[in-house]
Amino acid sequence: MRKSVIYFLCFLIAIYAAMGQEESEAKIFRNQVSTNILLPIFESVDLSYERTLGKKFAFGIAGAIYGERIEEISVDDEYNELDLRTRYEIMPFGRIYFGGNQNRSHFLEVFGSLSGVDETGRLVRSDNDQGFGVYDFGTESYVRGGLGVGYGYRFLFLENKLAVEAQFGLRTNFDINFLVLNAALVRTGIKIGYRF
Amino acid sequence: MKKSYIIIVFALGLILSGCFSRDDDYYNRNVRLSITDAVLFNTKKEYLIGDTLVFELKFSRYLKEEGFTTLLDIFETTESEQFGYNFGVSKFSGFSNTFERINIDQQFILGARTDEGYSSYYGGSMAALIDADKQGYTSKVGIVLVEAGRFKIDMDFFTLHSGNGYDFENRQVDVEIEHNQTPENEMEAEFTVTEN
Repeated sequence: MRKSVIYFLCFLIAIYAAMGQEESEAKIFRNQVSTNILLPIFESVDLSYERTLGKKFAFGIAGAIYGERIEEISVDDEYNELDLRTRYEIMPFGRIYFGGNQNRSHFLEVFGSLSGVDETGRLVRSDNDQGFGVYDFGTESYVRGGLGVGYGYRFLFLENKLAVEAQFGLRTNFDINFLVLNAALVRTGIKIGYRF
Repeated sequence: MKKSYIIIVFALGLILSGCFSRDDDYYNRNVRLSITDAVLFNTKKEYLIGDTLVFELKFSRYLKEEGFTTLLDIFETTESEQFGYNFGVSKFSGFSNTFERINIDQQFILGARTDEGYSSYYGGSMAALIDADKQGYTSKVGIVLVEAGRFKIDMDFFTLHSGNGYDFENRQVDVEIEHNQTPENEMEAEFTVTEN
């Protein structure tokens, strides 16, 4: 047990020392691609590209494909007898970094969202064999817009080439009651990124 | 220059998102249609006490729906063999110089009725039943005239319900049909009852 603690402390010291060295030899990379390593747990995957502008600002675009389990971290999966399932999402975003140094810093993010949604339990009109319209409860797919904010913390390792981010993001959409009922945890998790 | 980038990204996100807002029609579990002058009144306008006045409500199972080129098949949509509705009778009052609504005891009204669940939910009691050839719905109503005076059957605005709305276990689509009456048809609804 004691050995384990000593090894762990040595590991932390080694990382800290490496980061100190990185600070003195820091290179500036303006492009970053990253992915959320927690999303696969929810049968989903995402990819982000970020372009840094100056020292504090960055913008980028992200895309995500969601599996069924993403509903476990969403509160808009059921709404007034309608089952909602977000299948994919495209998110342009802007970031501002603050309160840190070259290797670690807080950031705030604002992002837009275009998401493809399957809505089950909705009235759907189709034509029968005789050419007359008939309604039934079915699934309708559509694209909806939204807006989100996020907060996170970023570490840079390996001469600033490796980025590790912890982020919390909340996105609403522009449907009715969007302020509360249709919120979802988006761009939330631990991200690993490569900078170049 | 850098701030302008952020503003552009933010505005772009808003614009992209706002373009894809959805109609707030989540609560719609029913389809609303309208028909005009579906009531056929007897051409006879003079009655004696003890006579029975008869009128008929008829409409096709294929109805026009606003916004669509094909007719809607309400029988296949609702699988309902009856549509319930209410009607009223007014008597002309010399005191008020207008028609005043009167209540008629159910024993003086003849015709097919809806079931208890329907009437307690909608307050309606008359039923338009599917025809034998299943091409339309008909309600034939008789009123036994027991009082002298100048009367009018109020059919200028009422709603027919398929009856699927009050039974939440029933997953059939509910259809509401609003009936409107032209002034010409309204004139036909007037009749006079005199003593023998």
